[in-house]
Amino acid sequence: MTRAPEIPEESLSFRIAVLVALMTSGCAALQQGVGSPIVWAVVLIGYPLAFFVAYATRHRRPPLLRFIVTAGAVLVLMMFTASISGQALSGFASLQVPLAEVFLWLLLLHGIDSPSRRGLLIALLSSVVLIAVAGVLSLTMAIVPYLVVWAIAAVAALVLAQRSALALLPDLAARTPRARQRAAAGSLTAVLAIVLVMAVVGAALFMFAPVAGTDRALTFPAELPQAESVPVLGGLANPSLGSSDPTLPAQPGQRKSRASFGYFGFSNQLDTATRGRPDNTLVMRVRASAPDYWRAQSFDRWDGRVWTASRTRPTVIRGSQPIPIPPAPDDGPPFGSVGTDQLVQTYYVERTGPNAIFAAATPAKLFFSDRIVFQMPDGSLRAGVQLDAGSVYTVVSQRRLVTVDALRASDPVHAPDQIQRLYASPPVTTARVRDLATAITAGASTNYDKIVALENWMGAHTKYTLNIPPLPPGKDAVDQFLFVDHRGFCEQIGTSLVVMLRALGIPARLTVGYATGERNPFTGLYEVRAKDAHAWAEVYFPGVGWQGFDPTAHVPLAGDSSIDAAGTGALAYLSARISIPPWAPIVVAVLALAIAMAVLGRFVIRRRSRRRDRVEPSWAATRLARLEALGAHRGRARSPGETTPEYAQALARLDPLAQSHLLDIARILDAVMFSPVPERAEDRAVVDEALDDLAERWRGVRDAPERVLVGS
Amino acid sequence: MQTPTSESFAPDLGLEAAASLATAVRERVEGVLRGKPEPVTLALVALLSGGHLLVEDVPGVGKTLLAKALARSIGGVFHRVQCTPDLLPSELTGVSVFHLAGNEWEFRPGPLFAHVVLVDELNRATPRTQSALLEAMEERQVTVDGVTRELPHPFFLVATQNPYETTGTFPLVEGQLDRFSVVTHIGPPDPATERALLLGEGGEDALADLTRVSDPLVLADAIATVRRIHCEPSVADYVIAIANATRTNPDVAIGASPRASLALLHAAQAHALLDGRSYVVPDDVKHLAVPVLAHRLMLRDPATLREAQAFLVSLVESVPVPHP
Repeated sequence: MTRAPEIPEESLSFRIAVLVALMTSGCAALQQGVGSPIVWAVVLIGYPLAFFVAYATRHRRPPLLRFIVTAGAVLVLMMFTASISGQALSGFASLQVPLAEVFLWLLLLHGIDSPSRRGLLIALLSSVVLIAVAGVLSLTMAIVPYLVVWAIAAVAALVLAQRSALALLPDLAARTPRARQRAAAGSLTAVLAIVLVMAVVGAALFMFAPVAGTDRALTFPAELPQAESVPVLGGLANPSLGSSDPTLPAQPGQRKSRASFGYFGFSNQLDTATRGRPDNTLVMRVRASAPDYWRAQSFDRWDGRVWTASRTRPTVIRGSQPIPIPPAPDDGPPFGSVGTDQLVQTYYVERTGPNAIFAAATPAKLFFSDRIVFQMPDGSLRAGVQLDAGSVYTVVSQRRLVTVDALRASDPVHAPDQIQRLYASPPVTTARVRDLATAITAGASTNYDKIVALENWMGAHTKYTLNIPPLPPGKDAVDQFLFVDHRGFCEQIGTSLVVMLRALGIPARLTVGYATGERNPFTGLYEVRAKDAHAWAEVYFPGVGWQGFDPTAHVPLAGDSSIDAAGTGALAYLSARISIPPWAPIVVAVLALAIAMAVLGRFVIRRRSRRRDRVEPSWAATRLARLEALGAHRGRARSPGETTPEYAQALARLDPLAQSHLLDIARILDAVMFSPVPERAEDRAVVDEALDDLAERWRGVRDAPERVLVGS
Repeated sequence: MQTPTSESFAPDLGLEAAASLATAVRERVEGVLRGKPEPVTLALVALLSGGHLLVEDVPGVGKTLLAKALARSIGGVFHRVQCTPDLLPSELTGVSVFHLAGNEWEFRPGPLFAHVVLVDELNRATPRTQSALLEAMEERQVTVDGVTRELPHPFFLVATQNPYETTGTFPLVEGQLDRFSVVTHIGPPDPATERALLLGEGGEDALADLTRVSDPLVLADAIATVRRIHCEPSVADYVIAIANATRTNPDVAIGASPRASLALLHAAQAHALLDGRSYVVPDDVKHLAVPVLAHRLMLRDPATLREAQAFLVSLVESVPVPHP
């Protein structure tokens, strides 16, 4: 059985629409880092050439072309094997890029070899794959313009494909131009309706489907673009601070300037007298399935104005991917009373910053492109290399599912001596601060309730602002905040909480890092900006471990947080970026009403005209349709070029015993259809009887379908 | 030389009479050219649709026999012309000679003045002679010395040629091919028929025993009757659709002309009569599309008639038949 020959596609506009969709999706995929400059050339120059060749040779395919395509396919596969055999494979992730490149190359060959509609539709389908790949790899909204262009081209291609298919439908040629027009408009309506339904279903899925977990991936991305060593291995360096890095030796005569976005807290010291206003610079993107605080480090020593990380000797951690992170000395005994879950976070560094490795508490595994990292005694991690823009690393954190009850229950137990000594010894502060702490917590029975009481008091009696007067020399920062200024930002508020807790003998420390940042619901990534730099308190609960408390804002307890839908906040995100003029709702309402009326009016008109046009199908038409249905059931559908007697003969070959019946039917139907004499009742009876008999004979019988031979 | 004269039309022959006449002629011709129903049907289609027939085949398969059997059974005047490169047009049409006794010019009709004319090996004649046939075939008249003379009615021309011979031949030009309504092959007989032939059944012997079943007058009526066979508009649309398919197909340089679609419709009517029907069905059209149209198409790639026929088969298959 030969395959029906493919009909060359004549519609140039359809071809161009497919080409645009394919090129857009190819560029979008390349934009995400797939492929080399040669592949760019393939997409931008090769695809149009290939489509042109396919169009020019659509009627006659030179054998040379076939040879070129075949040889090209072999060559591409050889290239692919060479490219993957040259490197050590570390899982599927390293296959991603070579596979995508091979796909782009094969699409070039396919472009040459697609003279027919089928080939073009396959190319369109491939563009869906490419745009999906680009979407998966995409971290930013930069894909949106590609997506828009691609969607327009794809919808146009679908409409044009339908039109060009309609043009070939032979019965249409016989109809009036109006019918043809109506059919063409119908194809637009059909495609638009499908697009609309897809948009609604997609939006619903987006708004209500849960966030995709990242835990099931086989491997996680890690990348270091330059991997330049830091000045002091194990030390903390923060190029974003520029020359004002307090850890650098002061250079006399040089004006202290810094990059606009660096936060002073990412250093060995945090001077609460320093005032800085971090700006909107995008510092990093974080892919995580739940919000958390991205922790950099903590400070233990307080001198009334400056926080210092007193112990600078790190532990060296070596390991291959992933690097296992052992518990830190300050973490205390392993957590017993609370459960844990895993939070996978991938950090995409956008601006060169400190070499601190951010992590939600408490990191357990690290995917990092260097074989060495350093762990400080408080559990914070540092890289041995600079984390330049473009660096990527993934942290798997073991989060304790802490609840209020668990915190309250931990109270009677005492913290280990070392922790008590380091973090709960009486702090440097004034007497009235101590008295205040005691007074506020007088009514609280548990440590947790004491913390809440302190937070509430500060919430009621102090004001959060970035705009505070400078700290007078020699003054105690906490005293100044609580009794004089009553104004402060996270550093003042967090420090006050820690100092007061220490005054009460509760182990606490000040932690710096980034707050969650805003989640972009379209990329699923948290966008962390310089202004999200943050300081908060961590309190040690025996049996539970360190728990963050943010008196400035509400810190979700991991055990209470729930995972939202993927599209949560999409509307808020959009409305924050798009300003909607006040008259817009009215315009939208008027437009919607107009569209509704137009659709309704069209519907009514069409219904009327359909009622007018309706023609009862003739007797012969119904009987012929029945014969065709019976034949199709028997496995032999009628081809449009077959006359009734030919079809009857074909069916008779399947069932020779029914031959006389079949020939009778064909003869009478042809006579009824093509002779001027109206059909006679006895002829009707013969046909109906024969059809009934055939239906009886062929009930339940279904042969292997015989393909209709065209052109043989 | 026997010279028939054109006569006035007899009253219309009924459809049934025409059909039985056709069947009788077919039986007689098949008795001579045995085992070849298809060429016989096509020859009768050409005859009854008022067209002309071109038989393309190698020598010795019965081309002449077919023409002779047709001529004999319809009972008209039969002339045969053997084409050679030195055949002159006047040798076909006739010449005027000076009659000394009457002191006047007298026209001596050529072999074209017959009801059935067999032009053997047409492609051996010079283009000049071939073109002289053109007027005769299309106009059914010849002009000699400025005087136009009507050919007898009906006038049926059967030409033969051997397509495999190229030396010393002049291939027919397209305009001339267009004037043949049907082109057919005969092909070698199957072994059983050939054995019967060798043992003296059919062939020349049967031809000698053939009796006429008709006369030219009745045949002319039958041809007129064929034209009145009913054709539904949908079937006419089908003819047009096939013609259009050849015109719009990119592989075809010159598609079917309106004369071609008219010939196809007339041939379909004749085929319906041969089948005993009073109306044309799409099967008639589909069946005849190749023998009527193939020789008129000019494909973009120079193709033999066989290739054009194969191409046309698939093209016709792609045209949807009329559907209620």
